[in-house]
Amino acid sequence: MSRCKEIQDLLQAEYFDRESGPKEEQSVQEHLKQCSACGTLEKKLQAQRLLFQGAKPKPVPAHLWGNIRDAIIAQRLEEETPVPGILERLKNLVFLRRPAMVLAASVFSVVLVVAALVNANLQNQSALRKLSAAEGIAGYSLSAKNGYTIDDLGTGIEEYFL
Amino acid sequence: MNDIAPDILERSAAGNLDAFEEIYKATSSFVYNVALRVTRNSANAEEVTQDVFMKIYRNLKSFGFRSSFKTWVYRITVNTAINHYRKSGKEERSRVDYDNVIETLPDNRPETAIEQSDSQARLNALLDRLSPEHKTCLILREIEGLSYAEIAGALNIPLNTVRTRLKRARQALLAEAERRPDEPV
Repeated sequence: MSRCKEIQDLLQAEYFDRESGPKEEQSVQEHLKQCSACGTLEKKLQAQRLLFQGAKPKPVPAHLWGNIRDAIIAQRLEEETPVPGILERLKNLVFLRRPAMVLAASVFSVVLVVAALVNANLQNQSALRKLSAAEGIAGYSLSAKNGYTIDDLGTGIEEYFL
Repeated sequence: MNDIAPDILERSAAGNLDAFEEIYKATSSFVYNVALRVTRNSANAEEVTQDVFMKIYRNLKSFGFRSSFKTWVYRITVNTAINHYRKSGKEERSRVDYDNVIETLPDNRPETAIEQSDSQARLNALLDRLSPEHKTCLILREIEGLSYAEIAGALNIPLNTVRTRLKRARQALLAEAERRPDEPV
């Protein structure tokens, strides 16, 4: 039985693949003449091999070389394009024209100028209002000093006729 | 796989595309057919073949000719095909490749041709039951006719492991073949 196991090990590998030495080959052949179980295994293995022998190689698709050649050329082009150094990348970062950045900077500058102008205008108006209010009070005080009693300051029109 | 002259390898390593085409012509049938047997899908086999040749092109300069070029190509092919097979989902693996099926069908379908195409379908189904390692070993031996030493070099495994894998793969195939078609796996 252990002899059968030994022979079946060889049958399923070296002997079957013609990788065994002449001594092993001879001992397997002698055993196969006497043992029907190992002989059956050999026949099954031969039948299995027939399945593989029927497997014909498929032709390689014709377009495949074209795809590979294109991929190689693309890779070469990529390798040939020089990689910019640190200084060049820094220069590009600072000086490279970026339309969106330029537009944003222009809009921001315009907004700053307009905001400054509006602010200055508002401050002027406020100063003028304070000045006219001070002049009005001074005017009323002057009238009181001249003997007039003002009970009702009234509206602007009334003040005009007074 | 045909042998490749050293000057073709050297010119290819220097970037000569015509010389690289010679390498492609000599090795593409092996690469594509092993990829097709392992992935069982023509689109995947094309992808694997392209990957293999890009790897060969990129690494030819550093190859150094320390080992056989053929063994190197075997190894790249087997590794790329097995990795691709593992990455592809289970669903994709079980999908029927209609291009492949149509190619195997004979035009006038005489009886012997039908039997042949049936036996191929059966072989593919049996191979699918094996692990990628056992399947690859068997494909390299039975279909590509590599020796044990060449298989050991291609898979980067000891000779004894080649022997054990082939034995186990054959045992598994016999067990599968004896199983009745309606019997659950």
